[in-house]
Amino acid sequence: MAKEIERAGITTVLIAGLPEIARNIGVTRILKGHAVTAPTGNPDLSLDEEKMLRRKITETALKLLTTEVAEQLVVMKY
Amino acid sequence: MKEKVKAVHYINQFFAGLGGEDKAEMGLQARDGAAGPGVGLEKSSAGQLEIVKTIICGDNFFQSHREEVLAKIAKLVREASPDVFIAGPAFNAGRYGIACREAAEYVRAQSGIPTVTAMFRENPALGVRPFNTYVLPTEDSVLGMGRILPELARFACRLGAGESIGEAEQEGYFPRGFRYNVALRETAAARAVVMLKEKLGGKILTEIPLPAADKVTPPSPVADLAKATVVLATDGGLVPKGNPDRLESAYATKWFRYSMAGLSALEASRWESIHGGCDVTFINQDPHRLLPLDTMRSLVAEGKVGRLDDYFYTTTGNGTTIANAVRIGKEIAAKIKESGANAVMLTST
Repeated sequence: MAKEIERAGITTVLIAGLPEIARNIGVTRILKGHAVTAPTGNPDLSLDEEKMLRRKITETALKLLTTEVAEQLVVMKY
Repeated sequence: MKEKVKAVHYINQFFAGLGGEDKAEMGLQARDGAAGPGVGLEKSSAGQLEIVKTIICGDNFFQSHREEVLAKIAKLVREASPDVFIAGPAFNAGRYGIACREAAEYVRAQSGIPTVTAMFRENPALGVRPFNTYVLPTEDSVLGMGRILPELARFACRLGAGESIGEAEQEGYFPRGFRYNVALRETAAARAVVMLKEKLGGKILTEIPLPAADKVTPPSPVADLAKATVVLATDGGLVPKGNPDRLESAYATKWFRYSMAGLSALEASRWESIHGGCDVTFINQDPHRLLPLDTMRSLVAEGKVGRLDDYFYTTTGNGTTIANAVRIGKEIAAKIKESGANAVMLTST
């Protein structure tokens, strides 16, 4: 999905449970999510901590959207 | 091939009969003898193949503890001293396919023991060549188990007996991406003339197939987030509870968009994930673990993001055929472009 949206010229960031697959496919902007079962959350945390984590992940993802990328940018932490 | 070929076999939690997605976090286990499809491998080898050890690991655990798991597998293989290492078959299971390939390549590199695995041609694990393992093609689901087991057993026996394996085209395994020098009778000039004649007749021959490079021009960064409209999208199969539009849980052919207008949060009572390829328990407890609506609402309220589009786009990324995935992607892209949004945040399980 990400590549087709990019092909249409729309800046995209992928928060991925499996960033390596996305890397191989050639998605431009990739951020590793927390886990396959919870890309933007962590059930082991309290709700407050989880919201803080979600915020960190989301803000990092937004940062990728505003970052100039020549070929590919894969970020593994937030 | 009179003596038995000794093998170590790697499978995941599901094929070991220990559970499905709920057991994907389980750690590594080892058993003497064959288990799961390994029993079938032995049976279809007419007594030639003996699986001395079966290594079982949860697909998620493999991903999150890769180094530890690979080291343990290498150790178990060293101790068992087999003639061949077999992994899978993984069919179209992405995480399992990756685990099979990585385990096989690691064992090969560490011990020199020949390795073979098997999976469907669209398995994401086949993404990048070269493979440092043999990979046999399978159907896209376990319905192909009956066909692959005797082939996998036969190939493993040949490897274990030290037989040399021919070219991919002849033998039927996926080309590994290695190029070997081969002496040919005809000169390059003679071969080129043959190829030119064929081309004039409309048939394209090539000695070096060019890889299908599908590159996308990286879109420019968003200039000012505070003025931008961001769209949320997911391939985690998030739908209104009850899945009214019947989005498929696997092999999706459809996509939908649903309105979040007026919602400050995604309540668990109103939304669910129908993704059939992973455990959706955590997402169903709190859909924000897949689609961060709550965070995006805050960011818009704080002025950090200009606007969040009312709609989120959804499909299921689980064994989607490449053809359908491209079509779905193009259709979603067209709709989003029509809406005039500047950027997309896509979350994926």
